[in-house]
Amino acid sequence: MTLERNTLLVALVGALLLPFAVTDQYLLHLAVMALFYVVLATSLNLVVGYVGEFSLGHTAFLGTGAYTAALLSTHAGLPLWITVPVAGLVAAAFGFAIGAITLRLQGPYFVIVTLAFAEVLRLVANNWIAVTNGPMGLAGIGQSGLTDKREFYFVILALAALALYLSYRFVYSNAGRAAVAVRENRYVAQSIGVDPFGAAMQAFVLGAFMAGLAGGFYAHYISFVGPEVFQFAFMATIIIMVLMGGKGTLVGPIVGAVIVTLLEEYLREVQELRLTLFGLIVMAIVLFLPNGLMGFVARRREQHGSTILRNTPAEEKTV
Amino acid sequence: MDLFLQYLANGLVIGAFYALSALGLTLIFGLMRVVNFAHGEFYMLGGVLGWFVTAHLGLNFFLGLALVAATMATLGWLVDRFLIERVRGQGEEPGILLTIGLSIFLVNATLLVVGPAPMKVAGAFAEGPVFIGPIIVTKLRLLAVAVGAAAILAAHLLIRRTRLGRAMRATFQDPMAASLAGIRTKHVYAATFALGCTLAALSGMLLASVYSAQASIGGLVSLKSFVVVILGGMGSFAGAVAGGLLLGIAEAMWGGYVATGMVDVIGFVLVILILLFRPQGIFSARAERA
Amino acid sequence: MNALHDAEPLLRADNLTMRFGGLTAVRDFSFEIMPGEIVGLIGPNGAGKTTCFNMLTGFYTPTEGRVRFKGVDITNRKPFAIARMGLVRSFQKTNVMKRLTVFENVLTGHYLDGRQSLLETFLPGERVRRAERAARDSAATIIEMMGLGRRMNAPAHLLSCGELRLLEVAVALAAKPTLLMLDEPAAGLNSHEAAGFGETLRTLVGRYVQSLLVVEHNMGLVMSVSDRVVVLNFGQKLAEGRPHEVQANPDVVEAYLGKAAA
Repeated sequence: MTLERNTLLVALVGALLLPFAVTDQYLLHLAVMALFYVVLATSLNLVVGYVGEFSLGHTAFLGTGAYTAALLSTHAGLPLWITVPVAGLVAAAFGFAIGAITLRLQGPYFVIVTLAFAEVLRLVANNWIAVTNGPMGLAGIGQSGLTDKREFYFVILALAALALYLSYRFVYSNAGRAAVAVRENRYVAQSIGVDPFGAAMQAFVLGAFMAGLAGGFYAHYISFVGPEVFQFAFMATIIIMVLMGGKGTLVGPIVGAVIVTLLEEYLREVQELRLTLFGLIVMAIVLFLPNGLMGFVARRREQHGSTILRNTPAEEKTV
Repeated sequence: MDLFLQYLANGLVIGAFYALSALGLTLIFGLMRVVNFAHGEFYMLGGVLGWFVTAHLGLNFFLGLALVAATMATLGWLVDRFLIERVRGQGEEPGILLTIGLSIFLVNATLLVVGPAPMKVAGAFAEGPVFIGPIIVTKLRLLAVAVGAAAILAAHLLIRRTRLGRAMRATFQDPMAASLAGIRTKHVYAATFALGCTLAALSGMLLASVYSAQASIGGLVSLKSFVVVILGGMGSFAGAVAGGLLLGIAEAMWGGYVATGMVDVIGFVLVILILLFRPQGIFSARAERA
Repeated sequence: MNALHDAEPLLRADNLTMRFGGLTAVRDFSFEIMPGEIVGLIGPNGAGKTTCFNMLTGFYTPTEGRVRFKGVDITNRKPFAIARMGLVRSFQKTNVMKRLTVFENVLTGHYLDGRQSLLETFLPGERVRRAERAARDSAATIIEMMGLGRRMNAPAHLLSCGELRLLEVAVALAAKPTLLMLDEPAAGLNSHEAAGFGETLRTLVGRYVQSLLVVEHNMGLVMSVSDRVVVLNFGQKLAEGRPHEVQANPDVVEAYLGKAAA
């Protein structure tokens, strides 16, 4: 707990100092994207790592957030500091509605239905041309006077800090322990008074809220939103970040986000090759590093007698 | 009325295609409890290989189909022995993640090799319309339905009537007892996965002769197959057929009478409704769980 | 306590029946647990003990019959809602959160003590911090009391079978039950360990829980711990009474040992 908090604080200080050391616009852009993915990976990790259900529909929240901010900005001319929080709230509302349906399901059903929701939203974004402008997308989203990459950097750093603060508080609270109890053993959780549906819902809505914030920021930063935000390629990227870093830890998804962002940038020209590699990486992680990099570190530490909350859901037993 | 019959016929044909393409998925899930997210990619590979053997090697359609089936059976066998076997008995999640990884790999590796353009698989014979009363169907579609029905029947007989089928059913009921009885369970698992993979690829090649093969089609196929399998109840052949026909007809009617743009949404809406009200699928009997 | 109050059972099951398809696992089963009582529920394998347990705690909905707890009908309530009323159970075959440490397991068990609003989760005030400290102290106390003090920070999957049984009870106790129900808590313990375990159980009643229901195969343990024993056979109540009465009952001897021994 303290170790994880201190690591996060050191990372925050480092991130605050970064733009004073780096002035190169391209490197700053990379840092902005890395932090954007930190928010997304952290939010997915709440569901995957702490509820223990595998959501393939997280882009639904990224996308609703992005479209919300884009519409508010292009139609009402609202600035970023209003559109981004609203984007988070709208995504949270979607999270509540989608969670109400999907969190009754487990295992493969949950995976498939969350994916189906993201797909439905993509189809809506593609076909409801009056609002979304269809496949053409919404362009020319205002940047609210933020001209400099460095200013965007501080905005997304604030969002990432917020996401990690909320996650930290949640994970180490009574509510977070309830979610872990559901992940580890649904039956024990119920027998100590935890409502599995309610506990999962909290984490799910919180994750949706953060993904919505990230989506809102993305809309302003890129200044364009199209149906691609709902696409599976985004989802694949976020999954790899969480798995590689280590689900069920707070630091893991950050590490994963930074590594994968750099990898993605390095292989930007060759999208197919990049995703081919990602596919191989996913398989390799499942086979050889099931708890990710942080899980690996934790296991090394455990051999010296200390433990932290780890992630793989326990095999469930029938009553 | 004629229009309605035409929509119904279209729905039945498409539905038969859906049923065919979902067979491999439901087989692997029903027997092995593996949710194969790479299912759509096996289907896609069937189409792409079908294009390769007919257009490049110049084989005749049915010879090509046999060659593709053999290739994909081998691939399925290898995937099981080298990947799925390592996470057997660890619950559903590792299998799901592993096949998601495999699916991402297969799509993009294929895109790297053949590119995104659609590829036409040469059909078994020249295309032409068939008139049944007021309804028009094309010859190739009828052939695909017929071959599909034959494949379903053959798979059913294989599982119910052959030694291998008996070994499969024994293994999945009680792997320990089966291996004590002298069944080489590793081979049975691999054979089942290979069979599921082959069924997916056969449907992929067959339908690529009606439509076309495309490297990126897998995701959509996987999703539709999941829809079909959930509608019919996971693991049931009859359920897959019923689910496929239901989805096909629902889409044809919606597309015909309401709107063409959002046809793909129908399936997802059906699935969400089903999972809320009858999680075991429409057609399977309710199983009590102790 | 006056006589009228004493007559009110803490838990009362009336005519419980559970059918799975054509199979009747439990038929027309009625019994009561009084405040302050330790009740043993025994029976041969497959007698329907665990099914009863699951009906009483909301994991199964009985086909027929009602369950009342503290005078309230709980028949159709969900397991977590029943737990919140003070009826907490353990599970047959060890069920703990294997990847968490002993301390984390018991701390998680304090869930009901520390429930808080979303706002309090993110901006914890003094009340939340106090509740958190109290939960941590209480967790440590329970662990020491159950004799697991040395294993406080060991992950649960490294515990021995006997230690796991103790941990299970510790997690259940953390939820502050009025009635604690244990499903085969001594399975896998040797007779020496079981005797010690029995001692521990006796000390719980009155101090930590009001009443205790124990489903158990270990006859020695049940007979030494229980105030009253209920015997199930083929899903029906076969006998009920004080331990020595039940032990002497020819029907019970026959059910356990077969006809020749009777």
